[in-house]
Amino acid sequence: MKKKPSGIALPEIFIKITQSPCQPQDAERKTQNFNYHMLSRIGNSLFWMGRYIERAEHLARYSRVQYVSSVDAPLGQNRDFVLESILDMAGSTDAYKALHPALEDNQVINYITVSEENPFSLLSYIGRIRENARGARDSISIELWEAINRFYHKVNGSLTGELPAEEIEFFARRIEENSYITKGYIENTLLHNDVWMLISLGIHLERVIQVIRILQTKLHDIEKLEAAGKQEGALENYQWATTLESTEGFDMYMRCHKTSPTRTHVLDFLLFDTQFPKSVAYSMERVRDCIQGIAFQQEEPKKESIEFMAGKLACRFQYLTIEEVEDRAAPFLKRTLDAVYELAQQLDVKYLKYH
Amino acid sequence: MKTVYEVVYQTQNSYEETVREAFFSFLVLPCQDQTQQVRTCSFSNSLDAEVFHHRNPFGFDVTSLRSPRPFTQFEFCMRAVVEKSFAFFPYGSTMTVAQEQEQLQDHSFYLSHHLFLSTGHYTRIDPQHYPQLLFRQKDQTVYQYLQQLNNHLYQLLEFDPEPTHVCTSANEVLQLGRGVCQDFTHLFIGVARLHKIPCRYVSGYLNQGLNLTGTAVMHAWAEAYIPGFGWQGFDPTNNLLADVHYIKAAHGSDYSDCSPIKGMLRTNGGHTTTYGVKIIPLPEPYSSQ
Amino acid sequence: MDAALRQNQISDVFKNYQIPPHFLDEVFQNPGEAHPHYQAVFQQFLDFTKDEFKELNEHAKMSFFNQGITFSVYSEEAKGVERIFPFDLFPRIIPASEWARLEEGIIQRCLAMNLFIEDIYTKQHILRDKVVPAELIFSSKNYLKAMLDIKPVGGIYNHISGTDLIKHRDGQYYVLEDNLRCPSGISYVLSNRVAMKRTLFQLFRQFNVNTVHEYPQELLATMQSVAPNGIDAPTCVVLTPGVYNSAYFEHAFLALTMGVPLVEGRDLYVEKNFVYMKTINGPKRVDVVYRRLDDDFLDPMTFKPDSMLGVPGIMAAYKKGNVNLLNAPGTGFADDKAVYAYVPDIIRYYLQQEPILNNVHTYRCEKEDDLAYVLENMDQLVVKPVDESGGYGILIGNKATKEQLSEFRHRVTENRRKYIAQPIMALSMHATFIEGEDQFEPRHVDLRTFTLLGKDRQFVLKGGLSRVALKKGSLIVNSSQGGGSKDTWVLMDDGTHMAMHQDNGSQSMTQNGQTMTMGPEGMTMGPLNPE
Repeated sequence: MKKKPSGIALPEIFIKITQSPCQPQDAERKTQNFNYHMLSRIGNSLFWMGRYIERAEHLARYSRVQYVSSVDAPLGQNRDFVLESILDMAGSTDAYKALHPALEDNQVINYITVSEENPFSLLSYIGRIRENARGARDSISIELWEAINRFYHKVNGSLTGELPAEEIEFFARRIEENSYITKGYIENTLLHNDVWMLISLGIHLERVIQVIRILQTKLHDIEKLEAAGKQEGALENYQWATTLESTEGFDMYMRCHKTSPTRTHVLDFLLFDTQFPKSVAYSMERVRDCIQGIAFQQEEPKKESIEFMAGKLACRFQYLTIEEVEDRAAPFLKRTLDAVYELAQQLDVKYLKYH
Repeated sequence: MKTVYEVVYQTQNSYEETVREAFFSFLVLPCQDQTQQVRTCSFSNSLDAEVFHHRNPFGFDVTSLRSPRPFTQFEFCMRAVVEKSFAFFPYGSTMTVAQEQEQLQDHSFYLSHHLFLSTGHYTRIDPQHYPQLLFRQKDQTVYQYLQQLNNHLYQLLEFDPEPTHVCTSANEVLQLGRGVCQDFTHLFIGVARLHKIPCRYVSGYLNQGLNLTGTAVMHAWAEAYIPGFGWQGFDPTNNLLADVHYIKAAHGSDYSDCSPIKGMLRTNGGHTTTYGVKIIPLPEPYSSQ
Repeated sequence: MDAALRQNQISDVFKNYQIPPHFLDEVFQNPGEAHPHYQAVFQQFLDFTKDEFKELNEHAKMSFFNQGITFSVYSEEAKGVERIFPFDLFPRIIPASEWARLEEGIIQRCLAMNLFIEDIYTKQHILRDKVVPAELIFSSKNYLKAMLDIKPVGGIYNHISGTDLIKHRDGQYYVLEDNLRCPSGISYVLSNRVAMKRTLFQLFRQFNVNTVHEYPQELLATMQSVAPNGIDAPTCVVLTPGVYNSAYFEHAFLALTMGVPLVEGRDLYVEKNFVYMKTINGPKRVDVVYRRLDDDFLDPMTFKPDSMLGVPGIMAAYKKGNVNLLNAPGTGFADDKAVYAYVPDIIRYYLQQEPILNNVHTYRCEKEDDLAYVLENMDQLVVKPVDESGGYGILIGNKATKEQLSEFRHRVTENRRKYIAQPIMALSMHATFIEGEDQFEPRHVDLRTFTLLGKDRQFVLKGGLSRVALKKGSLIVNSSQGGGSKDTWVLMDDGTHMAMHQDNGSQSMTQNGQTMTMGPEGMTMGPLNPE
């Protein structure tokens, strides 16, 4: 009797090339892998992939929190105020105004999220995340690549032209959640080597930038309220509460400070709390760690190296106190942001430039 | 008898958008051969990039440089002191017309000179244009014929920089009846090659003191192989034979082998280019050695 | 299940199989009777019901889709559409003795071609001796004056050749094309084998099949063998035109399996006639480039000036011996279909040997006699443009309409150098699973082989890509034109292990690609899992 071959046990769906028997095996080959130098182009893609993931997430969340909060805001805060705030945070005020004479809910939300008129819409960032992942496809895991692909298709798939303002809640949450899923794959499926560190560097550098932008925007918002003579404590505190919500920090803030949000405490929490993963101090630490971890070649004197720049910034945030900066918060934020931009610029020019 | 020249080639380029990365190659250095020696040469450029050299397929020195730093302006300058000596013209050929023709038909002669015998985009001439051309009489030697051809083309075409460009072919030139030194030269080459006479494109410099056409920029002329003698330069633009006033930089099958500047730039906008040359005979103390 | 009932069902996939009357059938000698070297596979396949086979087929397909093994199609209607290269589960099997002869012939041919290319770019003896007409070479657009007098390190021009063979009605192999530029397809060979092992692991246990997985290491060793002088541990890279190239998957695959960087032109630059790549650790010198970029695009300083895909100055670095390029630029004149006619003479000229492999008789339309014959007998000939690849622009006389024939007569007369004609070869046929029909039917196959020449080393991959013309009656096997492929097994020895059946249940195992290895003694496996 012939037996049915059991080789028919059906094959798994994925055949990963990385695990095929063609993988280099002898010692000589390993040496070559060991000396592997990452191309600047790949480094560039990884770094920007990280930055765009973080940027899209923060912009989505800020737009959602601010817009949704406007529905039940205390008196004295009108709709235009929120729309302006969203455009400010996105850095799109001028570009929007050049195209549209008036602030209008649907137009603003559509512009920020999906409009083709806006080269920096949320949708465009999702596309860039995918393009950068594609450019570095051979450096990342198939799981991460597929997660990013699903991210892209989920966000694009539900769209039918314009996005009405009331759908911001759903649209933004989808981006925020997929951002976390993507970061989960980054954290858990990649070797924690140069590849991972470059993505992390992008994520945390961008997080510093976005959190500072949120704080800048809110300080500006409050200034506007004050100028309009609406100096009610409740309204200001309400602004700080939405600031915390825009960084998913309200709960943790309450656990630390046990008092309703005030300017001093919120600034302290988002700038200097070394335990809160979205604080500038925390992210700057991570930026420094990544830069130290990546074997960047250094030719310049130590003081001009990006490692030195990042270290100095991170240390400063470890030892500053809110009392030292509170009175001049706006210029302090501006200086910090400039320093971070300079760091990003140096990184780009020295190591990630390829054309 | 010798003349010493200072030859200067200079180019300025400005770009609308920042050039992020650039690679340039120049084929402008006077070459060394039996009639000319380069005594000194130097290069300078506005990017302070170090230049490097290699030989092109025809053995001529190509000067290259690369800039990884962004720029919007670029200048390049080559200066050379060249000693040019007198060369004899191929009068009184040692070969008969029949012997000459036998050599031109020879297979290994063809193989040795094939790059200068086959025609391409620049040098192909369609039969419909033949009536305009001058063909060799049966009893003419190659040299006699080519001198006549030189004169014929000089008469046939009018010098006019307007209608032609760097890609203009011999066929187009025949239609237009006008052109610049490059066009005169391609036409000369095309006709010579129809006669199986090896003929090559030369780019170089022309003494500016003689009031000739084509001295402000790099000049072009042709070199044809005269059986029993060797290569001789013909300048159909001026109806002259290349002599001590002609300083050669390079030769090739046609213009595409001799383009003085080539570059690859990473930039988004357009650019403007100007270039000029100076060919100055140096005074006696240099010339009378 | 009842054995008789099973027997009844299995016939489903083979029951309508007709041995083609005018062609050689690779699998069957008589209806229902396979050639000895196919016996075991055939027996195994009889064990599958139609539905089981369909399921296997689907799974094999999915594995390719998930690996992203796709190619893009160039056509007006389907711009850049990604497709899976169809894969057939019935392997093509070549007996050891048959292969040995083939391998000898392929090496002979590749070596002669290398000497030919070298000669053409240096002394041109073969032209002086009028063995090959000089005009034929000089008029080829792939004859590059930039290569004249360049002597590549190691003296090799065609490091990688993809010789295409067919088996004719007479049982003989004929060379159809010498692909000496950037032959592609090797990634399919390796992924086909992986898919085959995963899907029909059981089959492999009964054969001594030569492995194909050493190819990437052999390619890397070939690259290292021709590194610039004085470089002990050369940096090798694969140069791709980019992600949008139809063969990008293969470029990435080769880089990954060799463990070398996959670079684009913009990652490289030339400084002082050395090639460097831009890395996050600064410039790193590159010594050997396996370039999958056409000659035209390689160096805008030397070739097509508007190419942004290439590396300006790389030809100068190459000429100086500071970098090596695989394959050398300008090899394309030698695989020109008009030069093909002279290959037997080329072999005799350089090696003083008789060619081992057959050449298909070729009419060069440039020649008066040949042209007259071609115009007269076009309906019995295949007419091909000399410098195209991918099966484009071909006319198959007996399948062409009157209009097509008269159009081609016109085309050929207008541009004689551009066309050759050959008798219509009777490509052998191989049982192939046809979707939709859900049964095996005979289809035409050819065989692309892969040969590596390095300094003092030669390697022919024992295997290859058997390309199948999936369209009924079609002779065109190219992937861009509806072709598929089969895993190709070259047996290590003939006559043993042929019909060995395992009926010991304890030796059956679920496949495990990690623990399975194949050595010269046949297959060995990792720990067995008794059921």
